[in-house]
Amino acid sequence: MMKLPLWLRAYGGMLVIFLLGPSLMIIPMSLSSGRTLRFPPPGYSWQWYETLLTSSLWLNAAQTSLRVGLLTALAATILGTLTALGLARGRFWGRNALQALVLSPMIIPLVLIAIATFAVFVRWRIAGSLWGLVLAHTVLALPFVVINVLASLRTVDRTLELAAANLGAGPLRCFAYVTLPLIMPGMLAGALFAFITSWDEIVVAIFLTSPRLRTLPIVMWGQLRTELDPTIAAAATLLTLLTTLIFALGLWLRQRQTA
Amino acid sequence: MSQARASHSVSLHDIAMHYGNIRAVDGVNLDIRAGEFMTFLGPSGSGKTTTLKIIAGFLQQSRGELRIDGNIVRDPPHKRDIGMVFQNYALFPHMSAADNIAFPLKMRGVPKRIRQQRVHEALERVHLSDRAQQKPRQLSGGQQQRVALARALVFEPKVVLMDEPLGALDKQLRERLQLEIRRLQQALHITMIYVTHDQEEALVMSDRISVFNQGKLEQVGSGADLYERPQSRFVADFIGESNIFCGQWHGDYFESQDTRFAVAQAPADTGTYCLIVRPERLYLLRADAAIPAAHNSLAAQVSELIYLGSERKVVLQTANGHSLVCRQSVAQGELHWQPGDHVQVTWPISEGVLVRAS
Repeated sequence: MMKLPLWLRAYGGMLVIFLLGPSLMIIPMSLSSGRTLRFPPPGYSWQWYETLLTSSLWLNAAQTSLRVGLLTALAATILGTLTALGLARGRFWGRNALQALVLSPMIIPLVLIAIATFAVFVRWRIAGSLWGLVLAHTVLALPFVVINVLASLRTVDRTLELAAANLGAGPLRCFAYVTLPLIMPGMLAGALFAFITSWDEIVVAIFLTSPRLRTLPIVMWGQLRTELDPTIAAAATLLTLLTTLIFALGLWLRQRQTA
Repeated sequence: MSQARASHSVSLHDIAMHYGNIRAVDGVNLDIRAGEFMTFLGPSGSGKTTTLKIIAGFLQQSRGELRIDGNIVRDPPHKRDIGMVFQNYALFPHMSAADNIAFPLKMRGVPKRIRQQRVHEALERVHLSDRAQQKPRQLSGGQQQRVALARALVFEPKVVLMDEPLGALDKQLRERLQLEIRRLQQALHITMIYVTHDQEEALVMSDRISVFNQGKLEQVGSGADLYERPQSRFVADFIGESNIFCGQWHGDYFESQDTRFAVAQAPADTGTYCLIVRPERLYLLRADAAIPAAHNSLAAQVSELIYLGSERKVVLQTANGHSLVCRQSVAQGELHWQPGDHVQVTWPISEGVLVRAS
């Protein structure tokens, strides 16, 4: 391996601290023995984790987030896979424009999407409902599934599909027995990213949640403004851990695909 | 796989494939007999693979008819009952060797017990019984090739197509598999259509060879037909080595670069022709030796001697710069020529073949 100059290593180290510092700082804060959120903590205890795991507010929010996240992942994976298939294999007018449209939620400011969705959902009477939130999150999550599935479709050798046809598989069975198993890692990675997109999302959720439907980020946001006790730090730590785990799994799946 | 089964004939009638102005295949007529090993031979871009894809149903021809046993075929590929071995084998990477071979049977609804039996037989036939549970990437190139072959044969297709199936293998393995495929084809009496650009492979394996050039058939015939009686300069050039003299047919003699040659079979029309003589038909005489009767001859100078094991090659230059090649069997005895020697190149008139220049 090449030996890097000292200044470059120092710069790299600073960059890592800059990126990871805020997330890591929350860990000692969550273990505080004090009553308010501050750094450094006066002493250490598990009390805020206990509060977190026994509070019905936090547990309900976690359950809601989980439900919205899983439904979003499911819907985005099915729709995104079909979209990717169409984009990769279809030969039709406006294909590039359609691809740009499908990926646009990644670039359009979230707050714009939130306002527009809110306006429409109020009229449809699904603002504040579980299905409304799932629908909006599915739009945000779709690009991640499409990108991952498109990438794995590119690695699938088209002659395999010709071979399947030659051996007697019609288009549907060719997809079920050959294409689908080969793009499965891409679909799973897409599903994980879709779940995280929903799990972390707050901007759209602020508009589309209601007192009876509150996701974890919404509860954290509310608590931060009113109570400022270290429970929120404990919640944030657990969220960070879970998200990191899921991301690592997603990256691993993607790597296995290309290897 | 039963030992003997009904074979099927394939016929192509005026098949053409046009992409805009490009004519990838341009009016191919061909009758392939039941149980025949037919090779499509030609340089890349000559239309041989395109024709194969039309037979498989992967491409829809722009014009013409494909018939199997006299019946017009228009079905989509999965209903054609034609087996195919692809250039890169196209084994399903997520299935074991046995599952790959079972796939066409599964698609045809063959019950599991019978399926297992036939997969077992198929694996045995290609000597891979001990590799049944391995995935394609755990198999060597030659083993993958055999799995692909077993998969294409196991469902007893009407015809088996092979698209340069041995291209990626080393020479020794290729030669062994050539014989193995040929033996299977003969034992099962399968109609097989084999695409290659390797003329030696075509000669070793085929009953008949179709030579493709620029989307058209140049000549169809046995290896001996093509080698000894080429009908065009292209065939003479593509199959084996040739000495080619181009010139004019004047009605009673052929003239090339101021030299006159006698010809065994006189063409009806005068015009531009090429006289083709295979290198092993030439022999060399001393410059002052008498020319035997019914031989053509030409003065030349030895420029190079190349030893090839069983043969040696003598490269010669004529006075007007034409290069000739003469092959001699080493078994014929010592070679007594040296580079720079002046000799007479001669051949029996009957060994020259006159073909149209274009």
